[in-house]
Amino acid sequence: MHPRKWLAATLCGLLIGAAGSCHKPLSQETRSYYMTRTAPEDAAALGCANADKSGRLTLFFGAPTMVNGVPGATLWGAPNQHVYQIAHAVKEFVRGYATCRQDPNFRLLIGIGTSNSGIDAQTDDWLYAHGRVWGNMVRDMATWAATYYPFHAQIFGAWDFEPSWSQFGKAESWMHGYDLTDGRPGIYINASADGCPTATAVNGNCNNGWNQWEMWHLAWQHNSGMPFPQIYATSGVNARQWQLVDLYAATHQASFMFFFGTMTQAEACRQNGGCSGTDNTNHQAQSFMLNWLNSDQRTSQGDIEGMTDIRWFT
Amino acid sequence: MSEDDAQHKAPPSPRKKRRALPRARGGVLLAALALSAVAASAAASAALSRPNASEPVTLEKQLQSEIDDMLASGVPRNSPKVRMLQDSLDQLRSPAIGRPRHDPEGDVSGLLSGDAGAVQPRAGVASASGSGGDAVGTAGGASGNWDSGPIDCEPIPGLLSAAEVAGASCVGVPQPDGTSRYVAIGADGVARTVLFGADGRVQRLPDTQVTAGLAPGTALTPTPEGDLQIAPPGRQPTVVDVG
Repeated sequence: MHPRKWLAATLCGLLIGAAGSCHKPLSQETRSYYMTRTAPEDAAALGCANADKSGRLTLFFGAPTMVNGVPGATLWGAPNQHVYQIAHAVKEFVRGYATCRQDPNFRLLIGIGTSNSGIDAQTDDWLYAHGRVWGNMVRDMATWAATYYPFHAQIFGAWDFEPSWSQFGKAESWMHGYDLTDGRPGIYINASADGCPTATAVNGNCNNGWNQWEMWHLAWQHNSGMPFPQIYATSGVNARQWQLVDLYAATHQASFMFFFGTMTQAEACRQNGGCSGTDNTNHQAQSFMLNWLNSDQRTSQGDIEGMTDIRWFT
Repeated sequence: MSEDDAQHKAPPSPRKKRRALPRARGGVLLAALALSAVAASAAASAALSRPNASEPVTLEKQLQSEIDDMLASGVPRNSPKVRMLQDSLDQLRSPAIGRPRHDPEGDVSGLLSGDAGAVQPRAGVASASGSGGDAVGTAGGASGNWDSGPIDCEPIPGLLSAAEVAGASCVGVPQPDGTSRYVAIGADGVARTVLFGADGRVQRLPDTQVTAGLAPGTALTPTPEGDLQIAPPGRQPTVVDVG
């Protein structure tokens, strides 16, 4: 990065960011959701309820599963939904947003998300196929949005992978399926780096036998990956873990990462009665991420545009 | 994320980092003065360039900024990720079609009737072992059956762990008041229940022993009253209150 830009970014993150995260309007602090309801009227109402927002967000469906022979996802106590039902819900969300949008300049860049939760029991072939079907669904939805709502929304994939949730190889199989799907859009990597090193960048271990190379590979090396990680810890350690994954890539892979946003869970914490030390606000998370990235010129980044806070859509 | 991760140290403050650099006192003072001046200038600049509350916020600017930042960070212009963002930006600036096509199903006023944007309480009753979802292959045309079909167990961050749902049978039980209960009954017969409130509240309810053990093939069916019917194969069903 150009030294002057690095200095500006550092000042922004360290001096201004703490007070107001530089220059992000409230409309760009988006809401993301754990989707436990997908009925058309619910999805449309949810889209309408986000009429005041513009930017990147994720609609999370649950773990990959199969519904009557069709790939889909779980929904935390609601019946599993196959990809056609999920796509239908997202369409209604977009329509609701388009109907209610408060400012014609607002746009939503919506990630349709799943996870690597509980996938160890599936075969690699099954996961690869599921990833491909998800990629096809996201691509078709992106085409649909570009056709009917190009001034309102764009569609992306989204993926919450967490080392504790599966073996690396299983997650890799799913991501291969998504990434190798023709025409698939980018995919927000709303992942956690649980157990990853907090002080070193030499391909150290994360939880469940994962390592920093594997984190970098899944989050960035795949062409479609758009890092947008979970920065939940109020200690800032999650930002440090991701910065060290980035630093590992810079020093060992002649690569680096670019972060498109930070995800927090402050509202989800409020909904379930509180979290202990994992309820960063949007601005805290972004400041942590920028501070750590800009603590080393090899990982510096001028700004992080996206910030979203997840909650339950009950 | 693990608890360990949540309890780690905070990032270095700029003061700490500057202290780590060996500098003469005079140099430090000079640098501090210069930094203060630049900071004040940057703050003033940020304030001046900050969009007015009524000024439109354009996502195009955000995407262009992301592209610029990526290039400034050293990503080649022909990188697939830069191209992906550029495509996204081009699409926002000038959609491939001159004018968006009319969405034949775009009128959602019926779905939004009443208080626009207000999410209504759940209606209907979920079936834990119902007839399943829509017919396969009806892309974009799926409808109905939103509240019926199989339910796979899934952890709920912070409330229901993967270990607790491992080997369990799960069911959603809508309540007459519009709330819902997500019940995971383990092989030990213990029901672990999470309440999804219509007001957005999500809460773990006390565990209850609903049966001595869950026999294979046991049917779990919500009742219209918001209770749960447990029907082991070849035995009389029982109805339990899920809180």
